[in-house]
Amino acid sequence: MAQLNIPDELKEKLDKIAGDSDEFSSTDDYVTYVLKQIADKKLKSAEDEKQSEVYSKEDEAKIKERLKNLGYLD
Amino acid sequence: MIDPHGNILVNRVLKEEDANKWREKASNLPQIKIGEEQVKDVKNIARGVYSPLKGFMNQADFESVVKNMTLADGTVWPIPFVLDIDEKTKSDLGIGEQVILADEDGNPIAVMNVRDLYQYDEKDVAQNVFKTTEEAHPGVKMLYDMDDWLVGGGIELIDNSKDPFQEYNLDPSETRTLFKEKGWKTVAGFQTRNTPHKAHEYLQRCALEITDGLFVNPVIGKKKSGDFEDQVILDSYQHLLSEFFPKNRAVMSILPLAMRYAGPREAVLHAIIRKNYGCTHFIVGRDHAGVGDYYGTFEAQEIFDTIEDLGMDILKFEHSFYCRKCGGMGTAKTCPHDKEDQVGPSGTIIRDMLSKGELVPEDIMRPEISETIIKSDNIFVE
Repeated sequence: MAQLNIPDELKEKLDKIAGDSDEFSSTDDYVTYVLKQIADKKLKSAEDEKQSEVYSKEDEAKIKERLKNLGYLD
Repeated sequence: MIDPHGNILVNRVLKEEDANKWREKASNLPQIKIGEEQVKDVKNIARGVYSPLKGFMNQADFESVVKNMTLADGTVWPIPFVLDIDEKTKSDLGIGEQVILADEDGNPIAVMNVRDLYQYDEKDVAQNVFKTTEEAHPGVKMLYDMDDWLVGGGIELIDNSKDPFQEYNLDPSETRTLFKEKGWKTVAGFQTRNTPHKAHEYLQRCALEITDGLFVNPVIGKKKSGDFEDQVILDSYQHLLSEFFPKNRAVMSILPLAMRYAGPREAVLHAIIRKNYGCTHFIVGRDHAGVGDYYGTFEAQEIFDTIEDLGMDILKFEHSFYCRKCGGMGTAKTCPHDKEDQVGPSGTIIRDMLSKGELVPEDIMRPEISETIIKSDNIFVE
């Protein structure tokens, strides 16, 4: 497990939130959960930004040609 | 035309020049060897069959699918699609790196952008997805055979080859174009892993009465012993569609996919896949995608009442049969006669007779279909 440094005041706030919560057994659990949510969202956005190729007119013509060659279209 | 699931038809197939660049670079990058069935999943992701998936699931999507049957963003998704790796492979990978997914012979299939590395509780996954933790269930067995770590991230397809059965292998972009060109506004999708008997045909005809076109979409891939061989399924359906359906009303294309036998959850996956192919309707009969006694007869139909509307019509059919008194096919909804007059399609009888080279009775299977099957060298998976 890695250790990160954060300001003391922030640590106090996080201790309070984690302590008041039934969901998290420790501040470490709470911080791990929050940071993981942010990291996943960020990485997913990066993946989504890599746009899927959109089918061009040229692609469409190739698709129709293949369908004709295979006998699906006359 | 119906929107793809998640409103995006994914296309992660690299252009040939880009694919060639990756082929040249492949030997300098870390590689993960993937099996035949995983190759099918990679190609399906890239070609949009599993839209909106763009790669193997990260932990957030995986856990949400297992627990809630949705991706992390709330989109309905029933089955985890994950790539398992062992401890050593995991230790060689880092988040943000690119890795080549290669087939068992080392040929590069795709490039993957590593976004997540995580572990999972196999019993929890089995119970949620398959509703059992018994190893006797073939889907659970596949799950238990997986390695301990999962790697998530988007993929881009290098190898877009379509063998075997490339002449029957259409991508969603192709089926969508096909349906459009045929002028079909509504299309009923039919999932199968069997040769057609008259009860199947009855459902197909009922569906075609209320839609413009029928899309027969046999699952091709790893099956269990005793299942029909892929070639036999294709030959028999080809015969049925060309001889007994109007030419411009029915088409067939394969779905390369390993069955998970997850019953109700798999029925939802099958519906989503057909939506991506452009189907507006999907036929779900009894015991869809089930195995043994793990699921109730109509559980695969009932699940659609418990999830968010997929935006397509699910055609739920009861057990159909030939009624000697009616002189035709029917179900309990349409036939009032006693069970003695109703001839159902017994899988055991069909298999027994075909394996002995005998024609199945005409009220169960068309003689032309029986003959086509009997001519095959290998009828069943060993």
